Amino acid sequence: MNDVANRNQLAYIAAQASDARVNVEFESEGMTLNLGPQHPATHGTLRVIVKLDGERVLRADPMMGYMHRGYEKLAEVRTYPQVTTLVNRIDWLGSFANEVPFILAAEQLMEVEAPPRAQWIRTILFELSRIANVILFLGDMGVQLGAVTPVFFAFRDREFVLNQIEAVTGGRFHPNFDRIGGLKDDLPKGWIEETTGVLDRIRTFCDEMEDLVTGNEIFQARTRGIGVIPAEVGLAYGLSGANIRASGVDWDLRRDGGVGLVHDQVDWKVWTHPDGDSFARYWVRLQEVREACGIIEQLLGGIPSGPVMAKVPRIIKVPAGEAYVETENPLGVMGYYVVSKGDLVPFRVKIRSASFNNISITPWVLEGTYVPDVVSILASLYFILGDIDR
Amino acid sequence: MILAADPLLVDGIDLTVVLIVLLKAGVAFALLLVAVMLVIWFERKLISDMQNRIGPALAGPWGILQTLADGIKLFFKEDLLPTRADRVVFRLAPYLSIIPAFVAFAIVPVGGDFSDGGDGTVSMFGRSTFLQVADPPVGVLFFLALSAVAVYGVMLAGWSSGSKYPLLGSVRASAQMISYEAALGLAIATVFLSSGSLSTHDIVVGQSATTWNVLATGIVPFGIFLIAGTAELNRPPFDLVEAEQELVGGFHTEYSSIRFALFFLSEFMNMITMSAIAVTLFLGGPAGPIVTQRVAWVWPLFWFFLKVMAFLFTFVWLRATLPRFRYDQLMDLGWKVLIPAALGWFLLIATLDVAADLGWPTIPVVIVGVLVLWGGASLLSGAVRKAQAERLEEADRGADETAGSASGLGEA
Amino acid sequence: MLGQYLPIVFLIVLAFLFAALSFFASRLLAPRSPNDKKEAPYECGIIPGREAPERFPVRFFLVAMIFIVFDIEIIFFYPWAIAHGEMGLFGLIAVLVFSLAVFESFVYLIGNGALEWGPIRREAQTGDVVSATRTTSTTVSRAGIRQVGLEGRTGGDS
Repeated sequence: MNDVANRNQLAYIAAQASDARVNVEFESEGMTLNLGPQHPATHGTLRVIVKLDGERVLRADPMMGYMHRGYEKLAEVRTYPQVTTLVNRIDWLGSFANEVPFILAAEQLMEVEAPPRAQWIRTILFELSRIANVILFLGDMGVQLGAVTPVFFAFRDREFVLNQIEAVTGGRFHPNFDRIGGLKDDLPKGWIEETTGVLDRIRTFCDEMEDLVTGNEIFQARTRGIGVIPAEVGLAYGLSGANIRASGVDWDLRRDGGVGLVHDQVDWKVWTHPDGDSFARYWVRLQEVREACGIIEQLLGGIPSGPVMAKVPRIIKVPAGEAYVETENPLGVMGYYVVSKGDLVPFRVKIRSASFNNISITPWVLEGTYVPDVVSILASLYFILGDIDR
Repeated sequence: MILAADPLLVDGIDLTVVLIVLLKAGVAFALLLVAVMLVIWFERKLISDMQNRIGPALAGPWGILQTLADGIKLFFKEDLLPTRADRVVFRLAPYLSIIPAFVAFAIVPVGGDFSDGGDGTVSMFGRSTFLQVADPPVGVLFFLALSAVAVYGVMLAGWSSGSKYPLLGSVRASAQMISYEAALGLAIATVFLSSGSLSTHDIVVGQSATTWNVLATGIVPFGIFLIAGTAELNRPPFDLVEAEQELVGGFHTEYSSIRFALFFLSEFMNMITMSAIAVTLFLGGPAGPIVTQRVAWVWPLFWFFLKVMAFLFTFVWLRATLPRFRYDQLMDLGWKVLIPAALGWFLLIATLDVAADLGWPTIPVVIVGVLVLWGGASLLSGAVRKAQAERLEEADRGADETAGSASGLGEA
Repeated sequence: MLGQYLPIVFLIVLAFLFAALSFFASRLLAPRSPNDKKEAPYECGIIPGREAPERFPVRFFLVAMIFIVFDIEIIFFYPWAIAHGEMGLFGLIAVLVFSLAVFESFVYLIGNGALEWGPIRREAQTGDVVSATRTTSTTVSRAGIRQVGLEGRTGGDS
């Protein structure tokens, strides 16, 4: 009893001491402000310590780990099929996309390949989860700038996408549908026609956003020229996804390095923007949602027939070896480095999640900005807390 | 020149007069409380309609009692006093916020027949009086003074909390509110040119005689008043004071329970009062196009209500539509656009007025006036550009120096 | 004349009573169980290490100073606006001269950057760190990792 109390007390003292160290580091004239962990703008528990002079940021430091759930370690005591349940909680808005790179890595190690039909459906669901994820960003960007209405439109239209995901997988948020060697199930009847309708709806939503938000003068004044990230700096900090494409880097793993997914079968375009500011990041994401609609529509027209599951043993034992697979997830590049020793469970899983790198640029990009812009820049970098802390 | 005075209070004060005054104050008080309740409901319902939501629906029919329920809930909430707060000021601030909000409404004429040269008096218990709580001769100045006092409520609330977010919020609030108060005051000054009085009652009478001030003063002051009023109320898109995404709750972050409720109430009360003042100053107050003989006393109230609702709707609409300004953009708009514009327009209208009195030809005066204004505007924009260029240069120099020292470190 | 303010006094008293009685009712009805954590100033869940500063940047006071200038101008404007008919040309010229003086100093202030607040557009600060043509295949080293499962796959992981 005494022991437990002591331990709690020691832990508390340690926490206070680490806080104090951080505070001392920032000690000087000016005001140190903690944005987060409990702050409305960090949608989650990110903590950004900013040192202010008036409202100007002299220095900003992101602190992560308030939501660390230890998925990399947990994966070491889960069998391969069980890991997908864990990892689709990393980026909880585009869950299906989290499962794909892990499954692909496991498939590489087992030297199996999903049948074509499974690959096509995988790609469709992958892009659907991208839409479900990014349209929430499009709405949320408005909220962070003080316009609350767009996010309700986004939630309204995301429902339709989630309905389609649910119709296939049975889960709205956490499908856990991807299997090593294919998919759990085939598409339900009538799903393709319904999805085409939903895609029209999403395109209408994109047009709405363009009318309501993109064209707004205050929105442009708040985002243009704010938080400019030049291409070299972005690459040096390891930015990926729409964040780096908004800086003019034409790099998309769906086109440039994809395995296992069938983006090369359809005709689509990687959008970039030369400016690298908050507006560019918003704009690129908006175009990507439209592009994803186009990809899905083309894929829906040509799903090959056949089984959705390859021949895979009932008890999955992965031969010894290592594999690293990365895909272009909604938030950016997500990669899994899987090391197997020939067991039922992976020996080591290293997850490269996009938001962790995307947020690492904050000290650079926030320096010299103003408090209101801190919020809009963080919003435009678009992180999901689960994707930072894993 | 007429000096306004409520006929009720002109010749001596006896018991009936005191009772009538008490009745009027009491009715205004109750009316404001009920109106605030309904306006909060109206805003929530309207904004949820604009956002594809249902909004409050459970408390009472169409959720109309939601505000009451929220208010009662707040009575039962624990009232916290932060440890680092300045106790006296922290407790004082809600009073400084709520009392001006209540009192400012006193000068608004809500009814009375102003058509066909009517002077807007009604008879009440055998005495004739105005349908407004009070009509001091300095009416509009009184309103400006109260809104200046309300700044103290917000500023002291943030400062006394002893916490960083409220402090930032209150610094922003005080700078914003005083900036826009200047624009507001200059826009109102134009109204006095055509009305010739500070009393709200006389301003309404003056408008029913000629045209509404919104036309008599040439739209521009009305637009400036509307923008500056929105900023003065801290309503979106000027709600930086309580920008939730940046400053959490702004100046009232540390307030809980009934103290918070009072800030909330006063905010919406100010919204009603600002709409009512805008109606009084620019849109002819209770005057309206249709007045019948049968229930004549209802029509002015109806028109007044309708006009105020139009303003309230606009405020809610703005909130549903627009993102927030950044602090410097707000200050730029206030200082570099609205204040010079209001000043220039005031001088132009005044010159035209005096020129008309002196019998000068109108068109040359207008041409000269516009030329002078244009000269002033270009002078100002030149100054703005110079300041920006200098700032950029200085920043570049600073950046070069840091880059130089950084490379020096690298070599060492 | 001061009788005109009687209703306002009544309203002030009513408003004060309303606020005071609300506090009283809240005191009777609300629970009270304060503790250290509840009463700590809010800073997003972190207990702040330092006092909130009581000094503001001087810029805010500059705004207050300029405001006073304009407020005085407004105070001069109001009586003149009401009486401009009687004062005629003389009054107009006086007001114009006065406004010119204020406006001129205002332009001077603005020209000196007294009301410059916002962020400056930030230019690129770092040189060529990594070339923009970088892809994963050029920078991620794959030495020593056994690549499996690539046979017969179109596209591949190259």
